[in-house]
Amino acid sequence: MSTDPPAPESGTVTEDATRHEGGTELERTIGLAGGLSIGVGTMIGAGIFVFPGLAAGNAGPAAAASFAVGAVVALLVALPTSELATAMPKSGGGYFFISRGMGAVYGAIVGISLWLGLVFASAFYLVGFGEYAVGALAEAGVPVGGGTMVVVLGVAVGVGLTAMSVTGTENTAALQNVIVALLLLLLSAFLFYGLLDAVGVFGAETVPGTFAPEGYLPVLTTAALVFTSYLGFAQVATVAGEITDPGRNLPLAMVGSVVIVGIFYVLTIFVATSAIGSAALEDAGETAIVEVAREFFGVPGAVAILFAGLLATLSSANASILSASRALYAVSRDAIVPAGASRINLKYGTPHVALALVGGPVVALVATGQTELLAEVASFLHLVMYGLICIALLVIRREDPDWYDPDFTVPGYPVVPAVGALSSFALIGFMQRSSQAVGLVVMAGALGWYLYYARDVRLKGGFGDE
Amino acid sequence: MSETPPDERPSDGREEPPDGRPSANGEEPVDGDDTPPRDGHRVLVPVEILRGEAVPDAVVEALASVSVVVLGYHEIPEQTAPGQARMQFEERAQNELADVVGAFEAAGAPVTSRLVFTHDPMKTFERIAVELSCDSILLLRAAPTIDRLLVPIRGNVNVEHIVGLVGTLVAGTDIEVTLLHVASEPEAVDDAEALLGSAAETLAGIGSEGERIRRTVVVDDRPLETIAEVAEDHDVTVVGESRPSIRDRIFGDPSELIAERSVGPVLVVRRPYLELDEE
Repeated sequence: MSTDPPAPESGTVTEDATRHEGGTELERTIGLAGGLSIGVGTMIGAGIFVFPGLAAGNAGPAAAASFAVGAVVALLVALPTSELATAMPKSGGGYFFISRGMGAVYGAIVGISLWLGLVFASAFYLVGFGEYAVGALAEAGVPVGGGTMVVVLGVAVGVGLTAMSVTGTENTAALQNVIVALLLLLLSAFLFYGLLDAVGVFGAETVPGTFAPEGYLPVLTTAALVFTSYLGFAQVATVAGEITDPGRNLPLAMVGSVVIVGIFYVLTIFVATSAIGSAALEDAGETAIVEVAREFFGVPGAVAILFAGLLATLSSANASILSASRALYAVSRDAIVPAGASRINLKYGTPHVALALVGGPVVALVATGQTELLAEVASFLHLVMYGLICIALLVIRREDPDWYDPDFTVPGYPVVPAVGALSSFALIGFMQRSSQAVGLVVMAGALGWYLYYARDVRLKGGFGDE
Repeated sequence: MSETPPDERPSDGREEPPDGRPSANGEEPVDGDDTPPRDGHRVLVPVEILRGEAVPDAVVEALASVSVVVLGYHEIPEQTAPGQARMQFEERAQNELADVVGAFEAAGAPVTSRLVFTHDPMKTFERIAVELSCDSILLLRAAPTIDRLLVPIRGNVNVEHIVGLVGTLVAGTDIEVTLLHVASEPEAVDDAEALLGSAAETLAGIGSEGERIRRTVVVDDRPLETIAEVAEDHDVTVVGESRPSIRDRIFGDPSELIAERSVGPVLVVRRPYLELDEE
């Protein structure tokens, strides 16, 4: 390892622990399966269970291409992120890399934007959960109408999840792994049947209709919209300090989870548009995939997918809330926000202040019920970070400091990080004006905070000088 | 961590170890953090620091003749990054750990210590036990006094290492040892007697007078229940690990019953050491 280890979370990284001077060790407890489960679990809730209807409505069957574009952009960023993460396997993910590579201003903007980006993402997942909960109630013969009830259920669950995060100490990681495995199995069976159906095994071959009925611009705007489905790999980086054998498991978990969900997304859109057509998907809205399952398997299929959707959106929301709390910890550790923000209580051992600073805004945003706006702002804030991660890699590689010794190096350097940065920023350009405006306001707020509170913080190359 | 040289060892009324017994103190490496004890035993003692878990005096005394690794650990839920807990609690935890280490040093045991913030204490126990070559791990419970040790012995294998450790612990003390074998059928009683006989001999050979060693053979088809029942009359139970890891041993394993029902501490002898002896 480096002789001049990164501050402030310095220490020697081994496969199973980080050892600090003074003899204190931090155990690494998340293996490859756990890392993949965080990545896949965070992502799959959105791409399959919320977006198909919206995406097919915008782009027709070409929405499959939108998801493919998203997957390519995500991969172009996941590779540079993997390299940086193996060189700096610390909590904080993208914030940590950017603050160390490019300095405190960028760090502060990204760190605060990451927290709020995850807040927007969590709110988006919770609205999705509300849609599924209402759908499930309707299936059970309790039609409760749309709109208001979706928001009410989303808010209730948001409050519940936050409270559970503060007081719950039981090990939910194992549960999360089981849920993700179950979802992947269920979806595999569903997609397998759907593909056979689409190619005509069960009767006439079904055609998805005109591939891109609206032309090709909607393919890109839809890619920008659905990019929220690819935010999870960065959440793996936020727990980089807890991943065992980080040199191997971090790249595998990040790249692997993008590849897995990318394949599932593209196939899902293909199957869905083949089965009931884009127009019907659009009508069904956020729970469109349920109608596809109903088409294949009748009521049992619809119930199974409703259940899966509840689980998936819930686990995505939960994972994002926890990641957002980690993001706050990372910036408070560097004194960009007051240390009190990440204080933990001895009774439960949980960061109650940070969780409240996440749960509060999440609930407020859920109350707006704006699925698309929430998703795009979340993507906006993440894409800014992704672009800067790629740039941070270019900067660090050029400066080549002594401490920089990644176990994984990005293939195709410098093309991959350069294209990754450009495509991340480009995708932002295809978003709706309102989303861009909200995103810019958040970033401006972050900059304002930095100028007001953290102007003296120096982090660039700050591996020795804290 | 520092170690108390033998000549500074406070007199606690113990006899000097008889010849032939591996010296637990003298051969310790000077700054022996990571080097395994050459032929002595090393016990891992996990202490849940910051939650007020204390090491009973009787335990400190009983371990005075072996090398000890005090593992101060603080379990944190997964909502919390370990570094977050370290930032806030490290100093306090180090202080509490220093107190525990001080108690062991005062009793004369060579002590090494570690402080770990972890989501998964079992994984941490296992890792530290391997890193620091601990042949056994002591699961703490309340122990007002330690007068009687229960050593259930399952079969012919593994006996030597377990008995060696027990012998080292009890030599020079008044602790009584019960060797227990639970036979599943009456026909096996003779074999069991022979097994316990040779174990008792080994024990006596390393410094335990014969009258302090009791041998009990019980015929019962529920060995674990029986062990747990007998353990109620004893202060500490010494068991050999029967699965590959301490994690299994505690959570998914027969001895869960022993550890759960035991009101006193349980000393688990790790499997790699047992297998070594089998060869």
